[in-house]
Amino acid sequence: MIWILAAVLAVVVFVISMYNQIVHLEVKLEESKSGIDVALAKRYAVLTNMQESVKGYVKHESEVLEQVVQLRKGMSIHEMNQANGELNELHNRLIALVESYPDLKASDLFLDFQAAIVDCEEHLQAARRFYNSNAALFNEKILTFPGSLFAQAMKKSKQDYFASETSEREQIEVSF
Amino acid sequence: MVQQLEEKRRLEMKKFMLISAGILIVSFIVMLVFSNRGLFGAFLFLVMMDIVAIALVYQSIKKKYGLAYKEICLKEMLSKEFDDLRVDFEHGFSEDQIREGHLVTLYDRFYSDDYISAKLHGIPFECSDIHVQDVVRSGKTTTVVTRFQGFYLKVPLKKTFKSWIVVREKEFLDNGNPRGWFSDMPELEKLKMEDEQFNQKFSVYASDGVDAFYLLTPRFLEEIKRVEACYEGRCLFGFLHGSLHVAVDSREDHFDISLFEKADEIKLNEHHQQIQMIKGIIECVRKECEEA
Repeated sequence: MIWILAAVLAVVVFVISMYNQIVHLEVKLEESKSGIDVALAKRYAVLTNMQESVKGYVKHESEVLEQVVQLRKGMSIHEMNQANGELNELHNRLIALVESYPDLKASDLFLDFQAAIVDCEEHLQAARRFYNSNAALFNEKILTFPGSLFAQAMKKSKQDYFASETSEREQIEVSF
Repeated sequence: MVQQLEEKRRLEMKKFMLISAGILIVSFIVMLVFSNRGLFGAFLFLVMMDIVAIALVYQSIKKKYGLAYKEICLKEMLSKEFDDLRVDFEHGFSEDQIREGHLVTLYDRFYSDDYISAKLHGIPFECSDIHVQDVVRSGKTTTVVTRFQGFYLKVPLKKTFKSWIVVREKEFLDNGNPRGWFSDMPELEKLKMEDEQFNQKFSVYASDGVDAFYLLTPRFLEEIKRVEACYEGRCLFGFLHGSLHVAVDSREDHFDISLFEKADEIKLNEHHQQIQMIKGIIECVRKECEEA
């Protein structure tokens, strides 16, 4: 009898532990997703500020900067990927436009923007790597046995990764 | 200069031999006087006292010779490699400075010497040797265990961060978590980097995951692996208070010289290698460091 009780207790402890591990990983994943949110918002703010400053400088060409990137709270990773792609595109357009204005390119304002953008990109890169690391841990847990059984019962599915900026950059074609 | 140092070494050796011989002769006479009284315990005590006295004399003479070697040879070697050099061969980091770093656990005894503060390619750094010992008392016996012996380096970083990040080379029976029960460190989470080879060798703990990935770029991970490959000892890296702290437990004093060693080509070359190691670490982290 005592052995049966011990076995039941072991199973209960195991179930609770597995459940908690999956929930813990999911919470960490959500946390790291919010890190991408913050980094994207920061990059968005810097780029839109730069866009406004450049608009004032190149009034007759400002129509090429009319594209508006939308960010909203609670975006999925797929939407974040899309928004980041749009921000990349805006960044590339701004750089290409500034190239034809040497005065603007050499100005302190533009150099400050460049430094701010590099910093934002480094933070975004860090947030992306942190999220992907947590997504890898979560996916590993729910795709391998016995985690897969619990994941099915808890209706958890494989999480998308946040695409790397460099691979997206290569896909973007800048044309005016 | 090396000739001058060699003369000093010979003089110190002679001094040591004479003092040791004096101690032994006095002990021998005392033994002869008391031998017919059958005091075997007193004889043993005397032998032990002799060993202690000779060891103390050796340590004091060795320290004098070591300091002379460092002032004459080592300082010159260092000044050729680094700018704005400031050295203090008798002192090092304070216990509090090492405690604040949270990289090395402190025990009962702490020693530090060979402090070096200088610049390499405009990057300021500070380093010194540290030695941490634990005095273990069990019943009648007392054992002194060395917990850390090696060098400690501090370099300011360019990137700003508020969190605590510790990268520790994995060791048997050590989970790598630097946070003890009563630690004043914030809650640390264990992180997995994307480099599997790195994860096998090191444990990463951080109070903020994004900050950890911000500082530990893939290039930096490669540099950490390179530093680890250069040293035989256990390597620990900490990102704290805007600086990079590096501790290498190599179980040796880096610029030590014994009274029986000449300051010859071989010894100078050995210490030159140690200087190159320090340079190597700073070169590795150069891009991430603050130029002043």
